Amino acid sequence: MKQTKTFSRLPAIFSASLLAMPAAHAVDVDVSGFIRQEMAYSISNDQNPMNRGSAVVTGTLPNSTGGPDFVKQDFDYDNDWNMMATRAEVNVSIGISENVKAFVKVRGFYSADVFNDVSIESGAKDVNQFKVDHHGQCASIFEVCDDDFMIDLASAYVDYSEGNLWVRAGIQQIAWGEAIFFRVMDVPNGLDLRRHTFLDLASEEYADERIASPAIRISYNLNSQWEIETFAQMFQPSVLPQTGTAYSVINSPFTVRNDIGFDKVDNKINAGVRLVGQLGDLGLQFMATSRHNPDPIFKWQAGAQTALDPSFAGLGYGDFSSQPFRATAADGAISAPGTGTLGGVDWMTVAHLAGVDGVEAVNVLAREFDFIGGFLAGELGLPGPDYATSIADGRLVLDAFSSAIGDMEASIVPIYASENVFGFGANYIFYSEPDSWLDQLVVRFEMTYTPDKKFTNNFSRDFIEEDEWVTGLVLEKYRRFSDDFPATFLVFQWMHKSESDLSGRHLRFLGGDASKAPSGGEESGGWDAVSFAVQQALPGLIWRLDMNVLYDLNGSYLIQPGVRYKPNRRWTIEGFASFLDSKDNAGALQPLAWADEVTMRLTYQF
Amino acid sequence: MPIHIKKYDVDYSRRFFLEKMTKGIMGAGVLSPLWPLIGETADITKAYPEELLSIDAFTQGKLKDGDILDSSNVEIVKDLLDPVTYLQVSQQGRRIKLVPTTTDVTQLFPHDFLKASLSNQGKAELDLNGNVVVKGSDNQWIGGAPFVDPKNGLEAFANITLSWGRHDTSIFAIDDYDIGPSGNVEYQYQMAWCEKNFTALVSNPSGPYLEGFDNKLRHQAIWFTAPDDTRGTSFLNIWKYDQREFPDLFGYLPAFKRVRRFPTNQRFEPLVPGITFFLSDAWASGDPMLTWGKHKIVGRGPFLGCQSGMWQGDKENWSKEHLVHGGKKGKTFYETNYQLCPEVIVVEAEPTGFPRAPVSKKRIWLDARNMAPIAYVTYDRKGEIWRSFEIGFSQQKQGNNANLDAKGNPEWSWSYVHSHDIQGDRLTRFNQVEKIKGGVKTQFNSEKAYEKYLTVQAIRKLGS
Repeated sequence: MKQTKTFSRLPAIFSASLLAMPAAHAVDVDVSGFIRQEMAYSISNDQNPMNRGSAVVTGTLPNSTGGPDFVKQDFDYDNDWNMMATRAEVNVSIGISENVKAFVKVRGFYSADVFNDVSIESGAKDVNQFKVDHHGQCASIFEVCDDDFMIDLASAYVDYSEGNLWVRAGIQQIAWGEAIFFRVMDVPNGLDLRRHTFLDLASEEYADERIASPAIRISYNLNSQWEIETFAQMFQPSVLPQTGTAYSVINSPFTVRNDIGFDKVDNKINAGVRLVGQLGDLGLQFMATSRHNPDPIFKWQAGAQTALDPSFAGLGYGDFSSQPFRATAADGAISAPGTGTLGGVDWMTVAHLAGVDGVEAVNVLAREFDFIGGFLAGELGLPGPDYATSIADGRLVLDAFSSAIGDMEASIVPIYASENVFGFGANYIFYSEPDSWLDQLVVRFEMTYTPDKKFTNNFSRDFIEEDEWVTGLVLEKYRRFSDDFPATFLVFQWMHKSESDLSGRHLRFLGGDASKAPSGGEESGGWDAVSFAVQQALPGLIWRLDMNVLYDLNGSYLIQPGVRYKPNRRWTIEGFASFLDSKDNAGALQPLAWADEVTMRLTYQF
Repeated sequence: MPIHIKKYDVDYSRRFFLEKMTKGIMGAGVLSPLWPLIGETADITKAYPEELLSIDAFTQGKLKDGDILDSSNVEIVKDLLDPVTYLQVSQQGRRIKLVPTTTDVTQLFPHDFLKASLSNQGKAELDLNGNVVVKGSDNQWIGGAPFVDPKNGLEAFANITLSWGRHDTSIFAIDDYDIGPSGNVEYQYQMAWCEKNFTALVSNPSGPYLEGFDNKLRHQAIWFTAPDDTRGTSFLNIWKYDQREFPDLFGYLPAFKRVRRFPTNQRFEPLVPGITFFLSDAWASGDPMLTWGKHKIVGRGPFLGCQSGMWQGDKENWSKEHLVHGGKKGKTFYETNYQLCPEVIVVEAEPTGFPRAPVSKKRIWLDARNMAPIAYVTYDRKGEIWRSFEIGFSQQKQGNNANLDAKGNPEWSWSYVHSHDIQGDRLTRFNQVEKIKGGVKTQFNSEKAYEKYLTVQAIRKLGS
């Protein structure tokens, strides 16, 4: 783990451009910003199944070893508010010379104590929402944070332009492609999902989530039609909602060892090049990036719970501490007793909820950790290399472990695999009979190809490695339905991924549950989703109505109606509801299917 | 002191303009053709009788230069005002200062544009498609107003469409104030507007065309630098020379963090909340002229409009806040200078290329002296007046203080805009200022404008 960085690096970033500043030029500084209250109120009876206080599996659980049933305490913990946060952003624009400008955006986000997970000993417990073991204890390089707040530099860069050349150096977001919400060519940056996951207004895209890092970006206009752009950017991983927080997608007994995973790629550089231009009426983009994928894939980490080594030494399968599980009741556990996974039903239910094949995950453990392989073969009569071959086998394994050590926890390590992404995009505006639906219809198409892309393979150290194709088709149309209202903006999008779902989970392991193996999705030709968005401004654009619908053909959806009211230059009030559901664990939105909520945002800008 | 011929009274002028319209005589000037006079001396006094050069003479002493036009006296000149301006003065507390008629035409143009208009006089014609070409050829226009004596509505529209700001390149820093029905300034923006012609150039040493931009008329960008929630919002329009074609439109929205290509036919929508400015409004000719149709000249005669004295070079950042008055809270209008314009050409057009446009017709009053659109109103689909887009023009000179061009001549440009939606009772005020947040300064013929503001790369870097 690296030491916590501070804002003290900033002067170094700016120093190069300041040298170029003419001595007599007056520096022009402008400060602006806003403060915003953001609130999300749960309108569902469901709670996040990944958190201990609202765990999906509780009560008396069968034990297939023949031993006594397990009892997992049901806290039935109910949080009404998913989010109650205060955000402040201050932007400083600095005009240094005609060719050199700088921009700094400081973002502060404080999350009030309205959401709690549960502590076995003392009831409600505060949760860590922001601390992540990347750069010190925080996620991004220029960030200070604690459990309930973060302050970071969302931007801090210097622009230099001269003729056809433009250089931006410093902390910045880089967004490529034209598809909205569906990330096809938008590959340079990962996402920071700690604040409100992706449940902000869908029409805002990922402006707040796309995570910035130091980069140099160079663009050159080859002529009036074509531009070439390249970047080199310090690697910055995506950040998932923290375990135990409102929108966590990681089951609470699992600890993500960001410190180990990130150390392998700290100071790595992602780089890319893009050619953008017009060929007559056809807009074209070509891109290639060489990167460490900011979206992690996971593998098991040895648990290192030496306290139980003597107890299992007699079995002859090696040290207990060499395998991932830890007994929460024994020394060396991270979590409190009673907070872990208890038995096979709990294991299978939650594994499939998270897009992991519960049975294969057991086999991975057996193959890659001698202790578990030996235990399965020797104690349970499940020899390798296939070990567990059914849901019943898998449950037996976990029931046996829980019978021996009680509820368990484990650690997983995020891996940021290197890969090359090649992309192509085009846009075309149709012209037809005025007033026809085809007239001024914008069609955008994007496609990327990632050879040998790596995917999580039930936490095995041998990742799935397959070529992935991602395509997106966008149809956009402005149409006036009335003389009295501005045009309605209509967007239809379709996205196809050949190997994984929206969040990058391999299709092979989706769709299972406690009694059923995953159904997968590769055989049916990949993952597909469509979205439809309607935006209707009222006269003067003072009111705006939004409706966004995302439908995953695997059976999950997000419906998000919203309204925005901007009565004057200072204030903006926004309200929107998010309705999510999934018919089963095959749905890409299943991890947040519980999260129906109403969000209000009240903004004052200065 | 010019000698004026008293025998030509107001009725003579009215009869003369009526006869001109009836007989289809289109040359400007009453006593003699206007443009030959301009070419010789730049003085228009011999073209018009005194009654058309002095508000005192026109109103037979009821109004004189220096008077304030308000609700108490506006009836005297009701026929010289567009209906929205009349409404503002008669019912909403607007005041207008009457100033002398400008007779020296050099004060009504940027120097190079006037020079090109004179030297290229008579060289333009409309081709079979309606585009302006050099007479007897397929060559694109070579600069200046192509039809100083327009014979039809389309020729009149060509004068205000081909070269909007009458400079090869213009960058305007703009303070925007948007007044709501309450009379308060509800929204405020700072924005910049940049336009660069690739043809019909008047100050380019290499000639009227810019190499490498064949078949393009101009690039134009608008971007917002304040307040925070709109900062970085930018749009780039790429106009083709063929006026039958819509411009290509690219936009950078801060939420998307990237430039996207947009459809371009939605030109009757406000760009940001509260503003009453549409892309279609720009220069009263914001759309390619052949995307509109049924262009026609519907009238001629004297009119009141703003052509002088509005540049506030002595005020901090060219501010006009000291001129604000009227409306429910005294914050709605600038006190502007109106002069008697001896002859305007009244033209109309309909948005035939925009079947779902909320506009049914626009009417523009073009000052025959410089073809500037001194008044402009649009009508809704029911035929009722909807909006006005009043542009005040002015030489950028105030006493000894002046903003000079590269050759030492005072610059000339628009100075303010009142864009009034009278049905929604919202008014947008633009003031052309020296500088806005983000460091953008009003400039003409800046050599770096294209790379800085007028490419896809440029609007991406303007975002943040």
